[in-house]
Amino acid sequence: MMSKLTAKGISKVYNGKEVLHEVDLELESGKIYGLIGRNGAGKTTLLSMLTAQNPVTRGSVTLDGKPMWENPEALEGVCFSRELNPVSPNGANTMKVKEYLRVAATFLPHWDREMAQRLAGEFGLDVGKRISKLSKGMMSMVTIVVALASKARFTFLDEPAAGLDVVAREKFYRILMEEYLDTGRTFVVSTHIIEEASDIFEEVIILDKGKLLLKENTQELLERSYHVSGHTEEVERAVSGKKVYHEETMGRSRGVTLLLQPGEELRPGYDVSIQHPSLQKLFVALCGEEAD
Amino acid sequence: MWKRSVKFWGGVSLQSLGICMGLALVFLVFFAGGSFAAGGLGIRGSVGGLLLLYPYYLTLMGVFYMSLSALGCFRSYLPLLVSFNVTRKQAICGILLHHLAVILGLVGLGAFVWFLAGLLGGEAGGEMAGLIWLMGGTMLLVGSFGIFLGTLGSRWGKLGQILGVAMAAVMGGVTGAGVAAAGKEKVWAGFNRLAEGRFLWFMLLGLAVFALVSAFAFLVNRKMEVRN
Amino acid sequence: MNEILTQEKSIYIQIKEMIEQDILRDILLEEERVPSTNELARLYAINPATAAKGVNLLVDEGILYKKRGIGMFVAEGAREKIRARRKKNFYQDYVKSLLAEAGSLGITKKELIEMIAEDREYDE
Repeated sequence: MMSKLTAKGISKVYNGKEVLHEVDLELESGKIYGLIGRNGAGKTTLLSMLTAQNPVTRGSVTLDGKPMWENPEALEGVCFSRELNPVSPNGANTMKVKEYLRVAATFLPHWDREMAQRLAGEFGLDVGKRISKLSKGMMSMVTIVVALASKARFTFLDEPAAGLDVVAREKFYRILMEEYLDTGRTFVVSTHIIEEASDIFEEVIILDKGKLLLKENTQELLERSYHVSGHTEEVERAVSGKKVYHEETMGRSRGVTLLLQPGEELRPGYDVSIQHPSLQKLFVALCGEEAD
Repeated sequence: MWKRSVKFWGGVSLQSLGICMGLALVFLVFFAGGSFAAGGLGIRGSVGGLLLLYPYYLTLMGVFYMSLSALGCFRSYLPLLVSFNVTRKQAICGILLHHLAVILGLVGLGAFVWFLAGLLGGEAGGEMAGLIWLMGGTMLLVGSFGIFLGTLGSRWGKLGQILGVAMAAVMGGVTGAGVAAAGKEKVWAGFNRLAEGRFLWFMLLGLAVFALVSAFAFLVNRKMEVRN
Repeated sequence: MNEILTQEKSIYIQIKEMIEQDILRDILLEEERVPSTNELARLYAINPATAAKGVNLLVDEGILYKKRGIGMFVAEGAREKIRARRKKNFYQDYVKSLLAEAGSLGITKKELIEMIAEDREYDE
């Protein structure tokens, strides 16, 4: 049963500042998407637009053709598990974890109570504690429990790994993968911790300063990204004519990062080292300061 | 999915009613209990006196609650519910109906208590009934103001919050001071005089104002944003 | 199996090579079942689509075949196929870079051949 969440020309303006610009996106069911971008790139805003939790300034969001905005039927297919933080103005902070989960159980139509309890146990969550009194890691876990137990067709997580230590993160990826393998639900996960997560994302969506930079199958993207290094002259000849995203020079040595179009190739025969950068290195090359 | 909203708000309403009832009882015993114990009216008389007074305290608690709760509802429950996929229309409806439910509950309870005390029969009963409309109307008006402020707070943040708290303090202070200054008998007499006017129109006015403010709430919050 | 994935090569190629290696090492025998893409995804914490890509390459090369409803199996003659293909690519994969490195160090072909001839450890 193929489902599509479509965003057309999404723009969002806050206080006269455009934080999202003409974003076109199509999310298919049955995939794990990674949403990566710098702080302030607009990731959280995009996620809240896609789930109709905040209104778009321009553009439309539809689920299988039905508009999402204030549409209970369409909303049943999504779940946006927001980052919880102690100073947010929402009501969540004064609640105890179990009360929060009870609200989730009341309103999320496919809520799996058994799973919520099991995950809370696995994460060592104290459900009697007030949310504002939880550590950042525990708050992330509440977010994760809600997202997973919602059993929504399209589930969105905003920085679920933030605040988790490395062991907890590995656990999260494992649990996410298990759920995906069992149910084929679509997950869209925004994250800062790019390298660990790159293996589980089938497609990666890169947002830069409110604009969609690219959306592509992770493996294919990595295969067409190259890091070429060697003597400056040799490197320049090998990549001449191609758009280069990031340059590092030290003395006569130079390293550049570039993305080749499908079918394009590097000029052979030059004395240069050719490597594939990791997703994280590629991201920094594309979205770091020098890329302006 | 209305069922889910009913389940949620039903719980909130029952909780609020319980708190109002409980606090009203505490205040009743604290403020009025002493004078009855000393007054020498005997058990029957005392109980009758307490039953007479309880609805007034219920109204007092109701007024308190009405002035405070809406702001909290708009500032915390509304974004919370929207973050769980409840539409703004439904969530606001829930808030409004919740307030109506609490008012209805308190008014109904007050009427029931007076019914138990046998105060609603005969010609005096007509006047008491009038007082019930007065209480309902008062709570509706205060509730409307609370919702108005809640809507402002939802839209314009801290300012609305400050106004709301100030208002609650003023309302509570005025009512309390008024009762204390006038003395019990004067307050009863005052109410009884007012009751001669049969306050149905007052209640209807309250409903009308409430409806107006509800429309305002829907309008202002049509594109409410959930902030992180 | 159970090697660690690196950054150097595409993940799905590493999956493919790991399965090939296991076939060569007799960890996976011919006509034996190979872990499913879901199992591979679980084991390596990677997306099953990626694992599937690697497995499909092996199917295309005739090293694995699919039994409907049961899973992926090692084809008959897979070992030989892998050996033959790797032998064919040996020059490209290893000798060329050996020569390039030797060249940059100024080692002559004659010296290279001597080095190989004098090696005591290679089992001829």
